Amino acid sequence: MLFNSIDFLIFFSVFLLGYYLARHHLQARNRLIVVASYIFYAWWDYRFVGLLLWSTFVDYWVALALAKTTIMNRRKALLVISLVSNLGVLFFFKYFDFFRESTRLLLAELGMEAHWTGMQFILPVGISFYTFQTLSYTIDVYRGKIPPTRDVAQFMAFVAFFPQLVAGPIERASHLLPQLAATVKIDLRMLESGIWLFIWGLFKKVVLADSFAYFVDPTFSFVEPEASQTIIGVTAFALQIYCDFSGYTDMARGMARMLGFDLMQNFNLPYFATSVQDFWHRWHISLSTWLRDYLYLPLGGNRRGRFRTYLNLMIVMLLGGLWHGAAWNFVAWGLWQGVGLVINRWWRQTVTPRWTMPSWAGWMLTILFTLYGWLLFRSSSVDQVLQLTGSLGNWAPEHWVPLQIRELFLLASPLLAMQIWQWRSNDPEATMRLPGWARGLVQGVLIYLIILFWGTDEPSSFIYFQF
Amino acid sequence: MSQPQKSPTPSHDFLYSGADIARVLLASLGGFIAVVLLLHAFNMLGWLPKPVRVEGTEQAMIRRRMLMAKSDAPAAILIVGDSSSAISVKAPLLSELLPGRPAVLNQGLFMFLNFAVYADAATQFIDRHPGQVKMVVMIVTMQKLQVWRTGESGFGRLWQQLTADAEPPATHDDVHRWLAIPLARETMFNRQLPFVAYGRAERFYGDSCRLKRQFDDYDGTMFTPGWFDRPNNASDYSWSFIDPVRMEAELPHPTFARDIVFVLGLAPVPESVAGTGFGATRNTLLAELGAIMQPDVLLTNLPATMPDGLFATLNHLNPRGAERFTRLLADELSKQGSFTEPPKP
Repeated sequence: MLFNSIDFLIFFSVFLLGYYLARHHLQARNRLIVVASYIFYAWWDYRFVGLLLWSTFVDYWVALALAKTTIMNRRKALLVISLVSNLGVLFFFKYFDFFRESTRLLLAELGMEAHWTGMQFILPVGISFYTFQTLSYTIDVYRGKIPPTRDVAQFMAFVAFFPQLVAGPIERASHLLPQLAATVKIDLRMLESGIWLFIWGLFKKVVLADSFAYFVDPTFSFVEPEASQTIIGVTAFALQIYCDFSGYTDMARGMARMLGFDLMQNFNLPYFATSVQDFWHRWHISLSTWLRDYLYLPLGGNRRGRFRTYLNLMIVMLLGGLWHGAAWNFVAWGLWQGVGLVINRWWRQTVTPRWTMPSWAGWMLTILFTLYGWLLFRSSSVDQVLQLTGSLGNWAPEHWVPLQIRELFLLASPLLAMQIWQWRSNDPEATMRLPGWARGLVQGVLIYLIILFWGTDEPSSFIYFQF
Repeated sequence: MSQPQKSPTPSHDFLYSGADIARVLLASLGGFIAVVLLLHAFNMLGWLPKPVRVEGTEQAMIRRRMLMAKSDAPAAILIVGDSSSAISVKAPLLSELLPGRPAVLNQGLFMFLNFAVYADAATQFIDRHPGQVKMVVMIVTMQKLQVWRTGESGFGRLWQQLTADAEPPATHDDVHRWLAIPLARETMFNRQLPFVAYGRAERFYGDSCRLKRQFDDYDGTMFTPGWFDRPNNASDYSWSFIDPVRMEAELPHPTFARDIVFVLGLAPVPESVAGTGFGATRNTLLAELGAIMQPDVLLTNLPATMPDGLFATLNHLNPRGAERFTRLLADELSKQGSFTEPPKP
């Protein structure tokens, strides 16, 4: 069930009715959330509901067991159980075929033949998100940061909360569990901002992201594009993936807010970043902070010398790239980001004390760096990466290029206007400053545009669902 | 005395009323209705641009060919045939290269229409402009000779329907029309934004978003960008002139007046799919087709193959390939002499 589908609108409407009826009973509310979330997940593919249950109950049990013992070895063993269970499932469904095939190719290069048949696993939707979410819970319990919860419904609701189940944000237990354990007070501002976020997110997805795709697909389906087409396609992809992913997040946060829950902000004007490090403070914040807290810092962070810091950054970004997909272009993208962070860090430590780069220059370099990263990310193979990179030296624009640039700019203009307004007011919810009637007018226009662009074909899926 | 029952913890408190909800929703509804009413008002006042309907690729192409067949275009040369003629012959470039710079109109269609329809795309124009057209050039693919569609295909019916001046029925329901959805799309957005012309075969016709504007700018030529990459596991390609297509070509079809030169050719194929002896095969099949179609000129000097990098697909040259092919075609057609009288001093 996609958020931008009639099925979901009906589902959410029915859920809201049940939510209203359950307002006097916290347990009933959480159980309703669990049932609705599992129905939502089963709608995708009922076969993988068992995986979600498995991940949930392993970590529920591990956390309770951790609270019962102070013996270090036993605690470590319990943590390992959670890690193996979650990462094992993730590895099995997402990475098994990739590593098997890569090993076969490597053996072939060495002159050894391996006749392994592929297993072609279907990737369960949201597995990368909910496994990381439950892992963060057990790790936080292990570290003593939060107590485990004994309330099964509460924990199941935390793991499977449908607004953020299949594409994040990757919530922390310390943020969401207390909300599920308490009475939430939903004031008018929460309702208004929730509605605004939902509509704006749906607009970004249906109107902007799906329209940018028309500029992206031709570039990445050519075997020999030229420079202007590549630049247009990559720029359009940067806009598409942002609108698609942040649109989903906004819809998730909007729905959660209408229900009285606060989900963490996942994007903060990422294309306004003035350095690679700044970019990662603004893009997919829930993943970057997860990687920082559960991978980078345990590896030593920046506390073990310069070389080890650089190595840690490379490892974290390599794994971050792999998280996105089992393909070498994602690995390349992760490495590219790692290199960017290493250079950023070296620059800050070595050059910045003597000379500060102007913000506009930092912004320009960051944008170019990010755009090339998206070329790596979107390419379907290493061959395509090489071909598109090579095309940047072949400037021979076709006659439709000026028209494409104009249309791309026209499409992007509402997004640019909103982002500039948010940046100048330093407020991601700047529209909430508008009087109610003005905001209503804007919302009405956005709803109209959504209906206008909503095709009669099947609704298009979100890009990040494939992770 | 029994213990008082512990009341359940409330789940959530709504700190707003039904009236608040109504106010919030009504504001959005008001904005929505305002847009709808404004559109209808502007339309009634004639302040909106003329509608530009977007259709499927095939429909847009057929409609355009039909409209041009009845137009006042000054074309002296007509290009007809399947999609290879529509894509591989750049009409403005051909005009520039030929002596006398005759106007060229590309009326190329699809593989799944028969030869009679290809000829019809020319004769309708010729009948309306007696004495104007000097040459009809028919280019088809090698694959056309082995892909059979009857004249009763959906596209054949569409061609007949459109040539009979029938407007396609409106497909929008009442609700869409009340909400001014087709109005907004057709008057404003179709001009400005890349609404893809959805078609069954759109993916074979490249960037079809701005089709109508492109047809106007390039006298009917289509473009398919990209580079043909023969799949590694593709089996050998075979080439033949199958009986159903032969019989279809033999069906009665419009012929052209004696003062119109009818030229017939086959489009080239990518080098990697040609196989050994392909040149001879191509000439044999061209001769067989020529025996049926009875052209005045058979383009045996056009290349049978071209490098893979000049093709977008198996049957379509990419823009660079089309430029090269058009130049080669111009060389051949130039041998037929000048097409227009030079201006008197």
